[in-house]
Formats: sequence, C-alpha cells, structure tokens
Amino acid sequence: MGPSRILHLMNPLRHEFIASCLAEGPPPAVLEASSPNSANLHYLDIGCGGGIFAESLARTIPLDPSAPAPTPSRAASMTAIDPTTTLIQIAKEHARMDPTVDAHLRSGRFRYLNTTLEDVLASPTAPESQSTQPTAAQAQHPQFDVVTLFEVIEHIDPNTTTPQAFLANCLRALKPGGWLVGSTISRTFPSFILNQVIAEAPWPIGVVPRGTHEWRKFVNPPELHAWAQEGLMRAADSAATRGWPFPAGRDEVEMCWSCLCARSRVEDGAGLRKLGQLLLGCEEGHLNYHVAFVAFGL
Amino acid sequence: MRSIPRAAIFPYVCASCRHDVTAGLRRLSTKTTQSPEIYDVVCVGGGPAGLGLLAALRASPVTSKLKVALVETQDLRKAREWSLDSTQYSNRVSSLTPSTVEFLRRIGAWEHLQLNRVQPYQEMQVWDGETGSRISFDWSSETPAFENLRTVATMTENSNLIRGLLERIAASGDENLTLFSNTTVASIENGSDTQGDGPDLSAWPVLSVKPVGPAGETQPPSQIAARLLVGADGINSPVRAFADISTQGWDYNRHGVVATLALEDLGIPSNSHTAYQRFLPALGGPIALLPLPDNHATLVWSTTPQNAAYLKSLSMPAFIAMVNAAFRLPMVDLNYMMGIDKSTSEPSTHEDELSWRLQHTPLPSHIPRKAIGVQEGTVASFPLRFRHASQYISPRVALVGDAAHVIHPLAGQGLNLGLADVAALSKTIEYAVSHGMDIGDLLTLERYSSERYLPNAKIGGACDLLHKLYTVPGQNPIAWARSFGLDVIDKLPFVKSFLMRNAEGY
Repeated sequence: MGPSRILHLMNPLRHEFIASCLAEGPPPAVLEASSPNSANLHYLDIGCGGGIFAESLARTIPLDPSAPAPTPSRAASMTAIDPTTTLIQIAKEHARMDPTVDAHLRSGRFRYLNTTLEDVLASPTAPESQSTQPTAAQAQHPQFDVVTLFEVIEHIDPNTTTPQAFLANCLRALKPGGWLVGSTISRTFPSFILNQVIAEAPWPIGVVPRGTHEWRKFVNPPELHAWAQEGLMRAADSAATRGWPFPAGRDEVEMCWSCLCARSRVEDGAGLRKLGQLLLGCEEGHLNYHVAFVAFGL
Repeated sequence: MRSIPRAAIFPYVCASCRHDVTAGLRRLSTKTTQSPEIYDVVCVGGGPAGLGLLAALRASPVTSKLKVALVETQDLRKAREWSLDSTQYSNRVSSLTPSTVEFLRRIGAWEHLQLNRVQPYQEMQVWDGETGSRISFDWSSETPAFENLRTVATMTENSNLIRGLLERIAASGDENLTLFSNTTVASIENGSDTQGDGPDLSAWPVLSVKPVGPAGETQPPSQIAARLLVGADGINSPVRAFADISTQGWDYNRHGVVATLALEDLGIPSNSHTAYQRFLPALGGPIALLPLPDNHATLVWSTTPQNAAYLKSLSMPAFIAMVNAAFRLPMVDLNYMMGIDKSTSEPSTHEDELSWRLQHTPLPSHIPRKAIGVQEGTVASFPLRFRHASQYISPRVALVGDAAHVIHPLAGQGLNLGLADVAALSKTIEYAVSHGMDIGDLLTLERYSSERYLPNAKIGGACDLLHKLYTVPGQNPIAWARSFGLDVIDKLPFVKSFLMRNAEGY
C-alpha cells in the first residue's frame, strides 16, 4: 500500500497509546464530565500530513455531540494543521471519501488548517466547542486537551526553529492537565541502518524517497525530556507575561514525563499499552502537564 | 479487482499525478441519481454466515451502534417461525464443532436455539470399507475416568441455527438495523462523487435492492451504499462477481445424498452418542450417519451422481436396506446391490439380499444401529464441489462462508469454517471501530483475510486429499498405505489429539 504503509500500521497503536495515556492521567475535562464517557476532548494534530492520524481520530467523533464516545479517545473535535499546502489538499480530498468524516468537516468539528503552529497560537479562534458549558479557558489560550505530535519532531527544520522552541509552542496550545502525545525515532545505530540505509535504499528495497529522514535530526529520550521541561517553563513564562489564564506560576508547574523506547515490532502494541504505568513522579491534581513520547529504535 | 478510481485506492498520490484520473471521474459522475442511504455494514445473504455476522456485530458493545443491513431473497419471517414436530427433523443438518458452539454462546445466539433438537456426540468411528482399518475419535485419552466424555461435535439443523440467529438479532432491538427480507440485489455498482455537495462515494459499493416477485416490478429499487459490503451469498456470490474476485476449484462429480432416518431402539438409554463414517472407495465416497435426538440420525452419503440417482429412486424399504448394507457389507456385495435392476426384480430384493448376505459377513465391532425408517420427503441430494476464492477482500468488500470457500463435506467442516470467518471478521470490525479505522479499508480487512485464508485452505485441502485417497477402489498400494496411516494415527494418542484439536477449530 505504498510508502505510507508503515504509518498506517502504526496508526491503531497511536490510538491505544493515547487511550492508555488518558486512562493514566485523565484531563480535567474528563474528570468534570457529567457522564462517564462523554466525548469532550479537543484534539490538535500538529504536522498532520496526509491526515492518516487526524482522519482516523475524526472518525471516532460521534455524529451526535451528546452521544457517548465510541472509543476511549473521547474526541469532540479535531484540528489538524500542516504547513504544506499539497498535503492539506490531499488530506481534504481523502476525507471526502468517508461520509462520517465529511460530515465532521462540514460541521467544523474536524478542521484541516494549512497553517503553522505559531499561527494557530497567534489566532484567537477556539475550536468549535461542543461542550454544554464553555469555559473561559476555551475562549482563549490554551485551547486543546490533547496535542499530538506523531513523527514530526525529527523533521523540524533547524533553519527556522529549534525542537525546543517548537515543543514550547506545543505546550502553549495545551490546557493544564492535558496531554502532549508524540512519537519519534531515536538516534541510534540500528535506527541509522533501518531508516537511512534500508528504508531509503533504491527500489525495490527502499520504501520512502531519499531524504525523507535525516538521521542527525533524530531525537533521543533524554534530549526530548530536557526540551519538553524547558519548553514548559517558557510556556508558563509567556503565559504569565501575556496575561493568559495559565494556572500557576512557573514554580508550580509540574510535568509528568514518560518516554518509551519501543524495541518491539510496530505491530506489537503490548509495550505501548504498558506505557501508562510508566509515568512516574506525578502528583494528583490538575496542574500536571503530561508529556508522553515513544522513541522508536533500539 | 474491480475498477475503482485510482485515487480511491491510492489516495496519497500527489495532485498533479492524479489530475487525469479525476478529470475522467467528473464526466462519469454527471448522471444524476438519488443519493443512496449509507450503511456501515451491508451483508448480502441471510444464511448462517450472514446472520451470524449480524448477530456478532449486534452482540458486541463496540460494534452494536453500527448501522447494518442484511439482504436476503428468502422470507426471513418464515425462517424465524420455523418449527417442526419433535419426531421430524430437517435433512439439512450440520455438525458444529465446540469452537463454533463457543462462538454462538459468546454472541448470545446459542440459547435461542431449540436445544432439545440438537445432539452432541462424544465419539466418532471412521473406517475403511475396503481394508477394514479403523480409527476412533474421542477425548477418552484426555478425560479422567468416571467423567463424561467431552463433546466432539454437536449436530444441529441449519433451520434451527438460522431461527436462533434471527431470534438473537431480534432480541438486540431494531435500532440501526434493517433486514431486507424477500429482497434481491438487482445490481451492485460503484457510487458517484457528488462534487462538493456531499461525500465522494466513487469507491463505495452501492446496491440496488428490490422486493422479490411482482412488487419488485412496480416499485423502484432502493439504493443503499455500504462502507463494508459482506458477501455471504453462497457459491455463486454476486458480491464476489462485483468485486471481480476469481475462484479456483473443481466439481467432484459426486453427489451427497441426505436423509433423516429413524434407528432401531435398543432400549438402553445412553449418555454417549457416536457418529459413524465408512469410506466406500468402490462407490465413490464415504457414507456417514450422524446422531440426532430420540433415536434419529441424519445420513450423508457421498457417491457418484448415477448411484445418487439410483438411491433416490428406490422405495423406502430398499433405501433403508441399502443404507444398512453400506455400513456392513463388503465392497463387492455393495457394488452388486447398487446394480440390482428394479424393473426386473421383486420389490423386496434389496432387503432379501441384505439379510442373506449378512449371514455370511463377519461384522466389525463398531457399527451403527440399524436404520428402520426414513422420514418422508427427506431423501435429497446435492452436488459436491471444491471452490476457493483467490482472495477474500477487496476495497470495501469481504467474502465469508461459501462465497469464499466450498469444500467436500466428509469432515463436516464447511459451516464451521464459515462461522469461523464470521468470528474473525466481526473481531476485525471491532478492532477497527475501536481504533478509528475505516472498516471498509483494505488495511483493516487485511487482518481478517490473513487470519482466515490459510486455515480455510488447509482444511479444504485436507478434505480434498482425503476424498482423493479414499476414492481409489480395490486392494492396491494406495489402499494399504492409507490403511497403514490410519492404523498408526489410531495408535498414537498425541497425533490423534493433534488432529482432533485441529478439527475442533481451536
């Protein structure tokens, strides 16, 4: 099924990953919900590309907003952004082939925006709010309960931004108690062999075009952790200076960090499901920012 | 594979490459049609496989919200009201393996069957009519003493199963469910792209369905679109034809003669029931007698079309004599009795021949009780065939049951394989729904196909091989080899257990 086959195969595991994260640290919207499985989480997919993940999540949004969520992802809306115009166009065209997703596109609960994360943060528009009691936080920043960042951070262009600044912006889009969930590839010798030597080899061995990945941009877990922590501090700072309703000063902001180095095969979701239990050092309460990453590669 | 707009199969092709494809599409979609009603799952065929799928989808909390439809040419209301007197049994009976029964229990259908009409059996005797070598299947080697033996399989009338499944579906309510009973599929086509006003259905199967009979002539057909179209529509599957999936296979040039028999009552109540199968190489296939409740049994006799026609033409006492002879007499005698000319002989010739020949025949230890009657109108025959679809899936199409595979009935596995397909497909759909996948997507359906294709090919191939081994008549190296093999397997409990577990479907 073409060069994106692996991404398609990974997609169900992303859902399981998010479900395990949400089960471990339910965002405030989940805890405050009137019914135990109402669909009230607002998602932001950064770097949605052709919409592989975004469309599959949009499919789990119930057609009737008051209906119970069919899956543990409990999605009420999905905003998917990508700076590449062609990809957004392809994603939109593909979405029309599914009447459910098409209906969400028309109602605005699923949006494809050809824009950058920075522009989303700058614009004051909130996602289509489907909850019965819109809170003040939804009208302004931060907006999203779950921000997803799948296979994006290793593609950051160092000429325009840094991974650290990028992660800080991701966290700015996140409500307190929300989740930043992502995956990336570790910078290890096996990942070099697999992603550079094998995957980008000439036909018939290779599956992706040459230049898809740059091994030196791959990210190792400790780096990711440090960037995310630093990013959270910056996000708290900027919130304080701009007067956004950030819940606390930078001294009180805490981050729950977890990173799984996936060694197992892509199809094997067992490792991912356990991930939720790996979260350490979180205290009970709403102020924790959750960051969970999977770093593929040995 | 049917022709689908390239863009629908390979959506991630850059826009410039797709330009010419979409240009062609626009011209095609200018014809105006009413927009079809959209369903998540449309199942064509209301046999055990199709109804089983519907019942399984309705039973799972994950998939019970899917909008489903079933199209069946027969009257489903009649099928649901099916009932027979307790002394009468339908001649279409299937042997359900424990894993199939387990599946039916899981989806809550088993309790809706008339359980006084099903008959579990704990032992199976299989022997070679040519050489007499024998194998017996039961779970005695794995059962502690004084415990009841585990069931090998359960005989169930197909009508009983269909009725139970319909009851189960009815018990799930009618929300998001449409049963198109008495309805045929007039055509299946790819949908159209509404160009901006609605979704693009150009890769979606759209069915035109209309009622059977005169009502269908006057009424315009209704259009239904399927996210996933399931072909449970039998050996000549229209859904398979629409998906342009080829099948391989051959006709065995054999017919299965079925009948419902009454057996002599020995007066000894027994907890244990036995199924019997004797291979008759000289007559072209095995004869099997499978227990039904209350001293009844169902007969499946695979034989050449000429023999089948001869058997069907016999009077009832002669037919019973032939059945009893087939389990007792040597090949030579059977061949002779199959050739008795009815026009020139006495009406009781078959019975007389049998009783005379039995005096000179040493009987093996395990033979079924004598048949003493045959239920009126139950002697029938059907052709035996082998078919296997080249693939089970196509974008937005999946095949289950006989639409995907038809096998020789000598191991009684056909319906079990069909329901195993259904179990796998419903599990695949469940996984897809809970992971945001499109249930009609090829990537989703791959799970179903990879789970079922090889097991079905294996069982179908094994039945085919057995058929071929046991149709070589006479005493020759092949007969010796197959008998040696049978004797060895019978004496090696672990090999036998392995085979039985395979046949059980776990």
